[in-house]
Amino acid sequence: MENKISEFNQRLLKDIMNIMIPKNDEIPAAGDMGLYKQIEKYFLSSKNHKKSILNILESINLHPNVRISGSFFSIDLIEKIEIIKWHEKNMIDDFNKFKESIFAVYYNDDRVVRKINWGQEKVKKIEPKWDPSILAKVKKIEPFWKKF
Amino acid sequence: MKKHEIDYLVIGSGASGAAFSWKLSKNGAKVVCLEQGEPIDYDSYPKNKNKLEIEGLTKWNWNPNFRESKFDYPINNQNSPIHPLMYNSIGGSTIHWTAHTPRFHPSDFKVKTLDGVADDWPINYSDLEKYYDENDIMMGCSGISGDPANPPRTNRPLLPVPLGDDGEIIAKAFDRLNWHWWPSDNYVDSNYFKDKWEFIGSHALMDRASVSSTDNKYWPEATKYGAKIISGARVKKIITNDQQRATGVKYIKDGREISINANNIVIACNAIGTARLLLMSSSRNHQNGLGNNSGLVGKNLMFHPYAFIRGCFEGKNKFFNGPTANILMSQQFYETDKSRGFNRGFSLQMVRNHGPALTALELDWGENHHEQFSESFGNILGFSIIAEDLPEEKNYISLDNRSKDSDGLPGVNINYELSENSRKILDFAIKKTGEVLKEAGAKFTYNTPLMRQAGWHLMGTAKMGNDPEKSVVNKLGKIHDLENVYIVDGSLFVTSASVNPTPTIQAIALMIADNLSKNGK
Repeated sequence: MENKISEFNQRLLKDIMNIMIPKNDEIPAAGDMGLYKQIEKYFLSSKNHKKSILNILESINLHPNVRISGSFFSIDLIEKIEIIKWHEKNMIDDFNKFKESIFAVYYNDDRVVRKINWGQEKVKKIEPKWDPSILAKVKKIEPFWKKF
Repeated sequence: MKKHEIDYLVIGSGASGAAFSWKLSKNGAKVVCLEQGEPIDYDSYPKNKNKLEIEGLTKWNWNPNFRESKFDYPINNQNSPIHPLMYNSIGGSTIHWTAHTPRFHPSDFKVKTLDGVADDWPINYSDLEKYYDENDIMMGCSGISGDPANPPRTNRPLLPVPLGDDGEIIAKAFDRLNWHWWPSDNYVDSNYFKDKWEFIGSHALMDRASVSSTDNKYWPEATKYGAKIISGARVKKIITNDQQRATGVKYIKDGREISINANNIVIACNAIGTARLLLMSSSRNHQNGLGNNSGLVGKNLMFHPYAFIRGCFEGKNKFFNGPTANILMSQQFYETDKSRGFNRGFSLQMVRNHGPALTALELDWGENHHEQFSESFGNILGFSIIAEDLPEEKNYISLDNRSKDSDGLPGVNINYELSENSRKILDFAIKKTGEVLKEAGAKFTYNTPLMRQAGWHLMGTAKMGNDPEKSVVNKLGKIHDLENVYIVDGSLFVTSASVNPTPTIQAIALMIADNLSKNGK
């Protein structure tokens, strides 16, 4: 099976990602960053993640309110959030995988890494040392393990 | 009886199989180990901290169902709130553990006598003490002796891993509450941290240079003594004769079925893999599975139920630097206190901040996400709460013939319910742990009442005991129903204690091996 998301589901995924991780100052919302390609690269090659991602997208498409409205894109934000939350509550394992994929690619993106200063800091040269004086108080506790 | 060339055929090369093989081969026995996985290529571990988070969720996932390696077998977790985690390779699950290595307490072996629950073990702490020490030396233990919550022990071969500023904040909070804490024992080389104090990551994958595993500690020594490992060899069945003896096994390698004979069979596949193999080895004389006259093979499955509690601190901290776990632990609430309303107790293990993606996953998504992330990232310290799980026959594994591994052998169903006692322990522990975090200065706390992907510790499915009707193996690991089949892994645990089990698993494997050597079996 090809590790690609259909064009329709790409749009849906992008919309959901934008809701889950909105714009942050100069960094666009997650969907607008084009991260679905990274999801395809890292997570659609994993059978379990792929199944979960596609299950969530399919289930959202089949949600009664989406079907009544014609599509996810034509309903308002509050209702979209409710639909996503319904899946979070009722499809726990699939939603966790879905969410993992989105957050992992977002926080692995160079723009975000720079923004949160992750990986930029230098390794601390003066490393902490083991200092036994920290044990001064706890050492005064009488041994309390039960003897046999 | 025909004398076979192999004295001991060991199935599984992880924590226990490696220790057992080393001891017996050192004592002159001819040992062959069959391992369904392959050696780990150390270059394949994630190279940088961003990759770590993606690979930790995919190809290095602790959960075998998500790795999709052909060396794993399918595990159906639908009937369990806790999912088993393991790795199948040379070294077993020690190739991606955090190597936190506390010991059982003497009381853990006597819970029936003490608290009227479960059963006493047929062995004592004192039976294992010298093997704990031997294992600590072989695996390379960092830590410090003198812990008032535990019996005295020999000086640790390596100094403790430094606590760091954040570890000291937590230690001082315990001190102010007059609660016990102590630096964690680890099979980690603390010298590694002389040159770097940086993010290590939650999967213990980026600092492999410091973490001991059996492929880099026991196996190089065992092979010097002549032990041999056949990797990519998945055992299909243990073969027995009419005299209650095993004659050998059938295994599959590269799609071919191969038979191999041995004088003794030693099973070291963890509490799920071992029960699976015994159930797969049913035959005319053993219709309910091998060693299952008691009906207990696969039953009494124990995990350690884990809860997680986190506290968010003020400022712009870097609480992600240093090892994520194995920093310090508290055993203030380890023993039963009936006034608390439950039996047995728990340990608290300090945990640092995850990397960004895993931090974010614990926060809300949506409009508040960025604000929460900015407030949290680098500022989170917390605890994993490890509760003692008592054995119950209703918690069991069975074969799942609807799912097959890459060689067509059945997968495993996990049937497990969290007991009321465990829930009470966790609820009490969350409340008490919140007090420590508040004392340490946390602005607010939040928790995960039961961790799902937390079945690291697999125990109990082939219980040890003196009575063949109430246990699967005797106190020296021999299956009651058979003359020459032994179990040396966590399957034989009678109870679970509330600490990581690997040093105890390895000490028991060494004790069983020593006994066999002394008795010339």
